[in-house]
Amino acid sequence: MARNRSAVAPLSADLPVGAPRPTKGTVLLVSLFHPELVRGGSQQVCYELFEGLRAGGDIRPVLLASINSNYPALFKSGARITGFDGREDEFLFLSRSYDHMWHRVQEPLLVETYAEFLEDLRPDVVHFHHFFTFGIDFVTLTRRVLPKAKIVFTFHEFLAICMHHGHMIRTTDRSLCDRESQVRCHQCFPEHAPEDFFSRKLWFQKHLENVDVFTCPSRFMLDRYVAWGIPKARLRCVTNGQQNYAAGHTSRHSRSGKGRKRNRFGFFGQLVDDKGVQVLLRAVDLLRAGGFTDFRVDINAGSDRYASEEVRSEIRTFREAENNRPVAERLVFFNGEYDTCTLPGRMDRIDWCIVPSVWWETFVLVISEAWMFGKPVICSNIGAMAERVKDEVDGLLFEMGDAAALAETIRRAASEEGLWDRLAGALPAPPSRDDMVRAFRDVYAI
Amino acid sequence: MGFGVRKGPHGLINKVEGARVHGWAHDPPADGSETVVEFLLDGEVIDSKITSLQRLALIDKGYPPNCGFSATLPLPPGTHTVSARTRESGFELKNSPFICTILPSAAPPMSEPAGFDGDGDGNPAEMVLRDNSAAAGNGRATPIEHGDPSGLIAGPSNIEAVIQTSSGAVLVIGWAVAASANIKNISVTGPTGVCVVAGSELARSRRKDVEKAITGAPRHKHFGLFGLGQTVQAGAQYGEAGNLCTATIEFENGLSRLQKLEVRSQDDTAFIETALNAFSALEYHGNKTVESVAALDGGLGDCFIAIQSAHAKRVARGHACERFGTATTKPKATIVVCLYGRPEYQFLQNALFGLGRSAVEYEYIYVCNSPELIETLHRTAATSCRIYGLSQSVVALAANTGFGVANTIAAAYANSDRLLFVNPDVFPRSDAWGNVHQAILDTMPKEQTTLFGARLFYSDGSLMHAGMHLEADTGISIRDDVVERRPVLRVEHFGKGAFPDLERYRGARPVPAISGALMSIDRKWFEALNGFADDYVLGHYEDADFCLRSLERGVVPYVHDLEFWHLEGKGSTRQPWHDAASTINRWHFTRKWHDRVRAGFPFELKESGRSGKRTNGA
Repeated sequence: MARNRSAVAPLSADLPVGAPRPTKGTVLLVSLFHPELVRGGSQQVCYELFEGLRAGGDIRPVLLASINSNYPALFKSGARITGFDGREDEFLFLSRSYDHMWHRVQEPLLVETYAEFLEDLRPDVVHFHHFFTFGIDFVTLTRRVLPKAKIVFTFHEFLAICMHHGHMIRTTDRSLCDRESQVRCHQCFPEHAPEDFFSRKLWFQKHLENVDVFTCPSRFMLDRYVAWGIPKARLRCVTNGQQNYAAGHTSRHSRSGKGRKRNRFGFFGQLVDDKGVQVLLRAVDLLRAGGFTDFRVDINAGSDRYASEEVRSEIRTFREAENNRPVAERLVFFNGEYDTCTLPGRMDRIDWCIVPSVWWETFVLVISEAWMFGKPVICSNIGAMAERVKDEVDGLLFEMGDAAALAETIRRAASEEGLWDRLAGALPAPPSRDDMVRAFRDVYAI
Repeated sequence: MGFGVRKGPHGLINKVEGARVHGWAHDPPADGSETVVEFLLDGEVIDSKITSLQRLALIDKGYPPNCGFSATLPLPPGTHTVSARTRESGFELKNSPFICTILPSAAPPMSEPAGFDGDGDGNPAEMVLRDNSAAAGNGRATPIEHGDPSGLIAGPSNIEAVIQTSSGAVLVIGWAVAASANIKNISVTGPTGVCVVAGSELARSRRKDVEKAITGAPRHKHFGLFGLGQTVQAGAQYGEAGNLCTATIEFENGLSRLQKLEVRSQDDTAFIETALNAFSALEYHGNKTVESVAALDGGLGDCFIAIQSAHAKRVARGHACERFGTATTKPKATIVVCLYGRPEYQFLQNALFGLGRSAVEYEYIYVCNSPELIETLHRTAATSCRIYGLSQSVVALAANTGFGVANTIAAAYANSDRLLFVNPDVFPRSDAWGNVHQAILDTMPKEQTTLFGARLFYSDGSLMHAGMHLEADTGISIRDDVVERRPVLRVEHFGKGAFPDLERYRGARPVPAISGALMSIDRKWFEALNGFADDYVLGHYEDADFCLRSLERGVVPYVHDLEFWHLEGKGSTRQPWHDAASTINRWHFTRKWHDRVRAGFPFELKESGRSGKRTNGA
């Protein structure tokens, strides 16, 4: 068949002068999106791993990141896999015809092209950081093409378990869901029969049988997958690690020292329902109504276009009202999207990081980022957040979704003398990129 | 033709000739039934009429297509002032009251004058009452005289729809306030063909709208008419929609009623669906199942089967088979799956069967009764070939031929001596399904493996099938003052909903029949029985029929310790017309097998259903 993807440089290709020659094998990292094209935790972690492995020098990492119709400019006629922006060993999988119910591409040539890519690259390890936009059956295809390769799969949320964006939140009342079942899933999606979810589970589990090692970034998440049916012996907890973005950074607005007010709060993330920014805004309303205004909140987030209409309307209404106040009376400031480059500046402007998510979360990179900059975290008391942040030790937990509880926590954090110092002094070191790379190298065993 | 219904009330009297009154009205009741016009003499209602005649010219003005009426009023000779109003709101029609002059020997006209059309003065779809017996001598119909001394009467009636196909099948729907026995036949005459449906072949159904509209109509009678027929002229075809035909109800007392109405044309597939839908929607006094079965007796059931069978044969001749992947050399068995409506079961099965141990030693044939899915199935087959290494064929049919015909066509492409017919919503419970199936073939006596099924399980874990048994029910049908006992066979599953591991359903068990959801059949035996019967409509009962034919020839179906999931009823898209097809097939199955089932089968069952009742097919 005609070639329709960029040639993969063979392992023996000449390397730049002075570059260490990889000797321990090749790892293909399959990533949902490229973090420079679409922001998101799973792709950010995957790319950190890609860079970390490359920095190690003895393993050759190759990145295959998907894009879809969000980036039409990068689609080339007749191509299904291409290079990316002239970068070595970074490729784009041009996903299309994707079946969102069953998570498979419906285009045979995409399947064929991926198989050829594997045949050319012959990686020792194929590490999936997601199946979305590729298809869960790519795991089986990988096994078929590379019977001896080690297949590693990192779960970044619960999409294999839950059709509701993998968040395990019930569509009926947005309450937390702690287990799937045919009938429960049918209740969330009445247009689908219970048997559809039975089939879905069979379908996913059959393909995941081809995985040698699964990893999850949190214990809480690992337990969920064990309960779902993944053999515990094949599951490992490997933390998400990041570069330390605070390294070498000197705060321009340092407010260290006892007795300083710690009344600046920050939200980092996306303006979508499950991240819970609406809970934070309601807490601000409650505090203002109660006459407590000696604090400020920075919202570091981009567009609200992926929020539900209801939440989007709530955010916009709040924002409009806030903007109509005299500057001196404003409590909330919308700073727009941030990235790792602007993170130090944004972190400088806060004392506390608030994570008010109304779903379980599976790791929360923002918590790590806050810790890098010495900021204690105030977060919902469930899931991965509760696993990482120890209440009253290195942070504060509040009842998930309860704006009044968050308001009270903000009031206390802003006014209780010594609290910030006590918690900030106990912050753990966030997992580093090197920690993660070491752990995955151990998983790869190459 | 679409139309926006104007609000009523509206209507007028177009023409009065003696006792004959023509007009139109639109004042429908809130329940959606037709407008009824009442005629009054001296303040008393002397007759009423449901508006049902086509008034094509009114459609463009926003009225429904059948708002015309034509009535012959029961008036004695003399001059009378009659008024007409709608029953719903009492709206008095324009030109009412009107004068009717009845001469001692006045007769209604054979047809209306030219130009009698539109809302002002026309009516192309009119009804004429005439006496055919008088025409017997010269072949011409002679109008009867109202108040004919012979006392001939015919209650009101109406043919509401005539639908036909290019292959000549005709569906007639209407009503008549007359018993079945009183209708000799209904004929439909179009430009190039004539279709005659005998009165005995008509299904009669309950028409609540007619009961409501006809003053003094007899109670507990079936006024609805439903008939299927075939044009008698070979190759004759009605024209395109919009053509007019003449529909005639001929009564046994010699009277007949003529109507001209528009013929709807449909292709075979749409026609069959329409006919089945319409049959499914019929209502009856009494038990619907029993009365539906009774309605099929006179010939209607055979007509349904003949139309579907002829259609399926035509479609089958044009099928195409595409193979994907390298053909498995002498596969252990051929898995044949008939798909309808839901393409996802192909890739689900490909994964769940195809990733089992020894799965690649099997061959897979998907036959598709949904032509719109073929492209999707081809793509999936190509993908599955790459991902699972499966050898797979896709047999494409241009229309729905039904379960039996499709599977039999697909089986002809098999390269193995063992056919495994599997429903799309059946998945193996174990990766070792292929080995287990082969072990049964290798270790069990041949008489236990020629035809066998599996234990099937619901997705909730309970048992769904451990063989089938047949029960003969008796229902009561009340028709034309006659009460009849009617046998109806019922197919039941052993162990349906039972605990999954009940010992009595384990092991090799002879049963009267096994579910078509999974049937493993020696190919020679399948061919010796000429495959699945092709005289069932779309689907249901072919599996039991095949098993009973097998039993008749000495091969007993077995259930073995082979386990599969079965998401019963989820493998295809259930459409309204499938209910009617099931009813027809049940009627047909009962007709074929009732006596044999009552006589019993020549083997002992180990266990029966959950009731514990020992069942031997009766």
